[in-house]
Amino acid sequence: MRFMSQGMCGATLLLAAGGAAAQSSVTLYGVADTFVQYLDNGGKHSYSVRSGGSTGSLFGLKGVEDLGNGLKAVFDLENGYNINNGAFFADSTAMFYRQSWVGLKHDTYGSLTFGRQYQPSFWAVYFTDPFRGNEVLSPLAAADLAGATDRSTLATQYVSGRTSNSIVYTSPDLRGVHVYAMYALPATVTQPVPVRSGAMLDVAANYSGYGFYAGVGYQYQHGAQETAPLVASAPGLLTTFDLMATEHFTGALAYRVGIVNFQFNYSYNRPKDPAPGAVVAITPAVQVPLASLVHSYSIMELGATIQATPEDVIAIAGIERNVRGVHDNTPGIEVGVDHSLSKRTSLYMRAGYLKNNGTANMSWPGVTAVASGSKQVIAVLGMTHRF
Amino acid sequence: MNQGKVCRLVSGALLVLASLDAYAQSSDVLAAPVRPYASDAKAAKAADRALQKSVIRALSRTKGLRATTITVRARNGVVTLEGTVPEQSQMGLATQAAEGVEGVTSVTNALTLSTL
Repeated sequence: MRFMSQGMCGATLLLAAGGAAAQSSVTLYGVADTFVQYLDNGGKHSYSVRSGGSTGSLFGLKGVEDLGNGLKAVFDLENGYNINNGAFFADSTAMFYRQSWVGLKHDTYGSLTFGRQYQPSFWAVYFTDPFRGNEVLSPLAAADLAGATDRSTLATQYVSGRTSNSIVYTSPDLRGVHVYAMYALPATVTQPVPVRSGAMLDVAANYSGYGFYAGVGYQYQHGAQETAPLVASAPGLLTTFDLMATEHFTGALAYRVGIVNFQFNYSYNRPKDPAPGAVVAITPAVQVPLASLVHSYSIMELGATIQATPEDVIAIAGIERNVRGVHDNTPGIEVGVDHSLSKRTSLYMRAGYLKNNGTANMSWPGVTAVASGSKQVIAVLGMTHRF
Repeated sequence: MNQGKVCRLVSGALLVLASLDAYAQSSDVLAAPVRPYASDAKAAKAADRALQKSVIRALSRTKGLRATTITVRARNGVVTLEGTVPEQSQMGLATQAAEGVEGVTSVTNALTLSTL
């Protein structure tokens, strides 16, 4: 991590302190991550070069200023980009898609921050996903983001991981316990699909110590509205429909035995029932009942992270996304190996398999035209460099 | 003269015994890793495990360090820290914390950076 100190004085202080926190500092940091992918998408084979398979490609600026008496001003601006083509990640209108926030942090009382931030429920589950919540190749992200493509849960909301217009309280370390609380005001985005989200509340707590980890989270999203294509054969035909208010319950556990970290997480996602007889009009003549897009679902992931050697990490995870009330579910498995060449550079591989049963439609994120009820095989080789 | 012979014999025997003893001792130490007695190996493993646990405990208690993603390996007092930390500054913090644990003779830091 490179320090861009504010003036010579800051640089001298930094040197004098030998890496200890200076009065005020800004850190430039980032990740450049690319991979070559083979995909079997329901029988269709393809090869591609993509970005961010181990850690999302990103760069950021984060800073801290000591205000005295244990109080600090803190901020973080974090951009997401695709290294394969130089484009912004996920939303071409958002410069700092990953994080952008500023706030105050106190050693004893915790921090209060404002902006676009990670959700408490994300922090509850993050430490129990062997693929570290990576939003391109983690099976957990795949199961979660299926909420945006799976027909039966299209109007049920999913845990997006980050929220704009949010206020977050983070407690200090309380003997291994952290408490997080978020309240977010409504937001409107145009990408990847137009969504007008409602207000949101999220609270979570986690404990870490002695090789044991536990996390719980609760998120409540108010009703929202989305515009998306509902007819697979006519992707240009957009329909605006309501998203139900949704509750998310998350539990996560991990335990370290020697070099193996066993990890488990479960979430249950429960939407409010739509009004009886509510319909979504695709064209004036074609209507579908809103209830057909609203079902509760659960995601369960069991896996392990194995530090085979100081340079090699093996990750393995089994996942199942299960939609309630219809016979739709998707089991999957993924293995990965990360081999460090240095503290900053590593090579990695991933191999995964997903099987959609019924009309389920889950896939690794960023894969288009996934047929309902199809299966997917993915295999990638990549490299990641952190700076 | 007889007495002198006896004396020489005894002292010679003692010397041989003493050197045998010394040899036995040193060979014991040298041979231990190659052909350990089952109970010694068990005891060593138990000691390694106990040391690993105390290092994990020390890391968990270190302020400003995220220990959740660190793997600790311990062998005869030599500790290796593996896995990831989110910030460069935490690498030094982890080494310091591990060095402070009783029974740790040296610390190898194989931690890598992971921004998340």
